[in-house]
Amino acid sequence: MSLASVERHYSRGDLIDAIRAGLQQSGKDPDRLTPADLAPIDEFHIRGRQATFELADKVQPKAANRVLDIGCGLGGASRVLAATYGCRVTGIDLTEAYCRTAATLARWVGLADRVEYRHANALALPFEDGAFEIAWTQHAAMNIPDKAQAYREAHRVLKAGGSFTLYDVLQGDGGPVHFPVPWAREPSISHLVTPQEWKGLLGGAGFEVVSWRDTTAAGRDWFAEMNRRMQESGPPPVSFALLSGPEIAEMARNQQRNLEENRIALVEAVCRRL
Amino acid sequence: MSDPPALDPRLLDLLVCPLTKGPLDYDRERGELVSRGAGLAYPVRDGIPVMLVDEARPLDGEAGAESIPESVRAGGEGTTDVP
Repeated sequence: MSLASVERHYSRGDLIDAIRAGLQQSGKDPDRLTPADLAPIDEFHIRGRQATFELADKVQPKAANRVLDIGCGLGGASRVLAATYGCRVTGIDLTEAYCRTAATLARWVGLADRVEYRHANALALPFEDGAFEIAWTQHAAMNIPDKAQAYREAHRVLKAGGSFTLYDVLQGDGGPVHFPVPWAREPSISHLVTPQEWKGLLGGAGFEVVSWRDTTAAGRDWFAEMNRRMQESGPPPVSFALLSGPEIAEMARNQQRNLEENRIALVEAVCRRL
Repeated sequence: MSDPPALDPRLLDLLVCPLTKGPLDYDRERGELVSRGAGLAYPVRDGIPVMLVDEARPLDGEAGAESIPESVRAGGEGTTDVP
């Protein structure tokens, strides 16, 4: 895999300045922020914060748990988990700018003592065996060609009986996806597998699937609602456009089409590490 | 709201070399995390450890990144212990 091309896809100018300006424009005081204020930008996955809460509710981390977020992006989920459950969360991402921005956002909302970020590769995790009770990943596998290795690594760093919680975009049965999409401007860094292949990969890495939920329909509704709001009040000052640039409009349109034409499927799964 | 990042006292917590999965030493002077096993030093930038083999500095006179097979450097078999 070309790691550099994945990092390039997600890297843009000074994110922190852009986020601060957007927050001020939307009437927020950057000195008095809560994790919820950051949700329009730091939950870079379909159904945003709602998806994170639903997934978190399935695993219900304990305060003493150590959680690993693989492909943490700007760290939205890591801060929701730390703030809601009191657990400690380590996020890794292949995009250095995301790690740096995530750490700054954590300081803004007073969570720097419970979340931390490392610039790392999911295929070669820099953590001890059995370091975590929970591994968590949302919308990251699409950029990982060697998912078998990524899941073996997740297995290695989890304690026996630990949970691996995933929310991913999978290949639907409606044909190849329309590009660009938020995770790839063209097919070379997009690596989708079908739900059946995904199950096989997880089983092969030593996981037992204990919960499986197809949220494709909910994803379609979320896009419809977002479009309705955009038409009513225009694009918000803080949005994923800060992450993807002007192409986000076309990416979002394609994403909606991909969902409507069953070219992609959304699945939330919780696995137990055997 | 944007205090400079202090050195994280938990920098080494749970952290190992991504290549050998062996221990790391913090070199305060250079601001690097040193993996003797891999002969690599990983940089820490803005308080964020950069745990990527391709970004690491080979240590002088020791088994460095050059001696590591390409398949391992790309993360393919990253759990192999390098002598």
